Amino acid sequence: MRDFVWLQAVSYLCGLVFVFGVVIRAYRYSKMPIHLRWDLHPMPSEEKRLRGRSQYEEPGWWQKPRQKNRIKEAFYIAKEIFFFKQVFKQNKGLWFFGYSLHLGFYLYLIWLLLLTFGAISAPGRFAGPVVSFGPIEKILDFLTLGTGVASFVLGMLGTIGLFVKRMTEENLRRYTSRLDYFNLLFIAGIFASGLWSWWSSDRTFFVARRYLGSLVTWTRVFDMDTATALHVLLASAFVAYMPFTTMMHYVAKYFSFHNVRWDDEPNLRGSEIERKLEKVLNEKVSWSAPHISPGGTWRDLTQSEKGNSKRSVC
Amino acid sequence: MSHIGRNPEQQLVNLSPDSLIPLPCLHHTSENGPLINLPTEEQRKKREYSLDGVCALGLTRPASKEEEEEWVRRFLGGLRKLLSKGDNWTFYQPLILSLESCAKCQLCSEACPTYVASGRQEIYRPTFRAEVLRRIIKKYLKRGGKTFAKVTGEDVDLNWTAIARLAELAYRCTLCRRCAQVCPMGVDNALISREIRKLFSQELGIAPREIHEQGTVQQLKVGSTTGMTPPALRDIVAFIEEEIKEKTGRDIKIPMDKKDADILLLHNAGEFMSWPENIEAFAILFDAANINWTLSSEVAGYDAVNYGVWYDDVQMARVAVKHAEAARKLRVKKINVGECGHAHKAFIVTADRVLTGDLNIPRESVFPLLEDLVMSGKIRLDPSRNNFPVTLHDPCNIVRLMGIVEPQRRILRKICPQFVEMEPHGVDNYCCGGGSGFAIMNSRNFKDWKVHVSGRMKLKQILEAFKDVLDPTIKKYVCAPCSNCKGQIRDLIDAYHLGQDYNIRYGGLVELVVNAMADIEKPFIEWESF
Repeated sequence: MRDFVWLQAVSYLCGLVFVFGVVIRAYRYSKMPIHLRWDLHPMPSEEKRLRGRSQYEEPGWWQKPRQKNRIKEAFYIAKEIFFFKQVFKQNKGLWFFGYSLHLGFYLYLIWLLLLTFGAISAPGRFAGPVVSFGPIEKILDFLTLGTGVASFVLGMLGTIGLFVKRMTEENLRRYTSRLDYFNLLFIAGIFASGLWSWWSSDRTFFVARRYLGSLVTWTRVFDMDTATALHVLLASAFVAYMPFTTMMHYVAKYFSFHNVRWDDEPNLRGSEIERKLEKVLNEKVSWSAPHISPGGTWRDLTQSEKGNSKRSVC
Repeated sequence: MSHIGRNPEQQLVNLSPDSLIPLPCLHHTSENGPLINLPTEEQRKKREYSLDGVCALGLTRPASKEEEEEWVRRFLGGLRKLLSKGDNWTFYQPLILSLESCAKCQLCSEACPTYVASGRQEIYRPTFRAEVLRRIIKKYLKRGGKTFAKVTGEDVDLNWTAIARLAELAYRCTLCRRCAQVCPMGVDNALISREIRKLFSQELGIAPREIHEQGTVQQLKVGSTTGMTPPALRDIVAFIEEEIKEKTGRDIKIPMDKKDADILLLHNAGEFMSWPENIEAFAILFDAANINWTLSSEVAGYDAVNYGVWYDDVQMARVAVKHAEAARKLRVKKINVGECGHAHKAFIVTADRVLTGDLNIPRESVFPLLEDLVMSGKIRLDPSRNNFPVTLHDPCNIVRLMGIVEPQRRILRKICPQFVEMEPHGVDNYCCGGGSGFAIMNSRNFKDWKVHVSGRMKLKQILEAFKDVLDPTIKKYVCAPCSNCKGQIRDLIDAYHLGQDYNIRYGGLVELVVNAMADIEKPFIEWESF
């Protein structure tokens, strides 16, 4: 019997790298200093307003209660996450493959959850091949099978489709680097190995379920087929690799929308925003153009009389 | 993108009339001659034209290799500052998020009016200049960057040619942010263009003369970007009062430096010089409505513009502070920004987090006030006096960048029986092509570019809006409630003879309101003066 503790160690390590990577990235974005406003309309949270209209349409807006509809905002976000609505509107061809890929990802995550739940809810099933105990287990097995296979198929369709699209459309090819192609192939490899594992050796996902269960219950695993082991290895490696790539856009996106595009919180006297600004206005300036005197603070600059250029710029 | 630093003696693109998108009922091909006056060899040797044959900045090539290396060193120094929290807290988070999140899906490209109108020239694609910047950052500022660039195929050579072309490229984007609006990742390529401009201005001292030396510097020094001093302002205001008397028979004194007024009205100073009828109209309307208001004659207090919002945070903050100081001195209850798009955005939104303490005086757009005056019945209005086709140009800074969409429309629907929308409109509008300072940038052949390329989509919209009434016997009005947009639309009308051939005129919103005032005998809008 072969011992796969080395694979389990790899999975744990990659998982830790992923968690650290995501946490560090999110922490880094959240700790960035307050910035000047750069909001953009339409904002989905604007209550009772038609497309694009803001608080600034009200005379004396600063005296009126700000009406934000967070449910509308949540719906907007959900439509984007689950249906890629903006992409669908702008480019249906790109949407088809991009959505397939992401749907493959979402189903893969659901598949992992179902496998894990299946593993820990019926530990006796580790002992041998799967035997469905009752209707609940049958439903679980069915869902596990369905989401797993669907995720592999959709994921492969999406990645291969995007790969071909990026290679053949000049619009996209010019901006696609070798690294982008590598990433797509990497992801395609994960889904392809998953499909191969299912088809060749693990038709009921017993092996996959047992492996995930072993990770959760901290037990050793023996006897994995090569295909499933390869799939686990690729998936683990990808999970560790992802935090260092632009594929972390799902973390950045939260901040891009909430902290920049939809941030229309006004600076009112005595507000938290004003307190944060007092801090950044004391930052030192080191820009070197003639109209700026380096060494002072931002507060000094804006109150300085030195607004004149000392020489012609062009 | 990897070619941006190569072949300095050749242009990266050659613009031809044949490649631009067609316009309804206007046909100009290469047989009619070039739309853009290309530089002579002599001019090419003196200034940098190698991007697209157009020159916005007037950059001169370094005289020696050492000088070129010094430019590269300073550029990279500025880039480090742009990517530092301390030096660029103003836009650090928005910039980093935009730089790190692009999925290169190119959805932004089709939203960009300049890119589409140019016939989809690659260099005008919103992602082009952003990708150039990313490659420079990865190669020159990250550890192992040079090796990584070669491995990934994302190479770029940083030399004078690349720097000069990137600087020029930053001034081929109107900052309209349609690209940002459609991006599913939240990336803002217009912001990246703006930050590139900032790097050049705040570190290298490079910016268009019209925006910097003649713009913010002049405004802070003498009072206005037009060069108008406080004494000159008083003379012009006196002239405006006489004009009002002549047109309406009313003796209206425009309040100046009145303390404790409810409103300080901030106009774009270009209105005083080029469109005094806009100033007159506000004075007439406010007088009729008994509004307690004032102008200011403090330095910068009578010029709402803040060009810094396009290219330089330091200048932007300085001008905003000056505006607020003028209001504070007068102890006004609030500041209303007149018909100027970027002044709206700069003063009410972007500079909001620069003004603290007693400089944080309430600021609002004049449009809700106008809406209230029109809709409340306080002023007797007769829409039949505006019974000619009117279409509305939506200034980007007011609609998409601030969300003020409906007040101006309600006004027009009430006082203009033949109001027709452009398509698309509101937050989906197209820029006039004069945004981000282009409207006032006319040196060398830049005017040709902004009229024929960046303004092309707006021109198409105007013609399509009036397609059923193009008969020159029918006078038509493009309502553009923004000074810089008016300047650009004026240039479009002049360049394409839309006035002579189709009787298309332009003006602000308040002029239409006053033109509809039933108590004024003579029509306020003088078509002969266009």
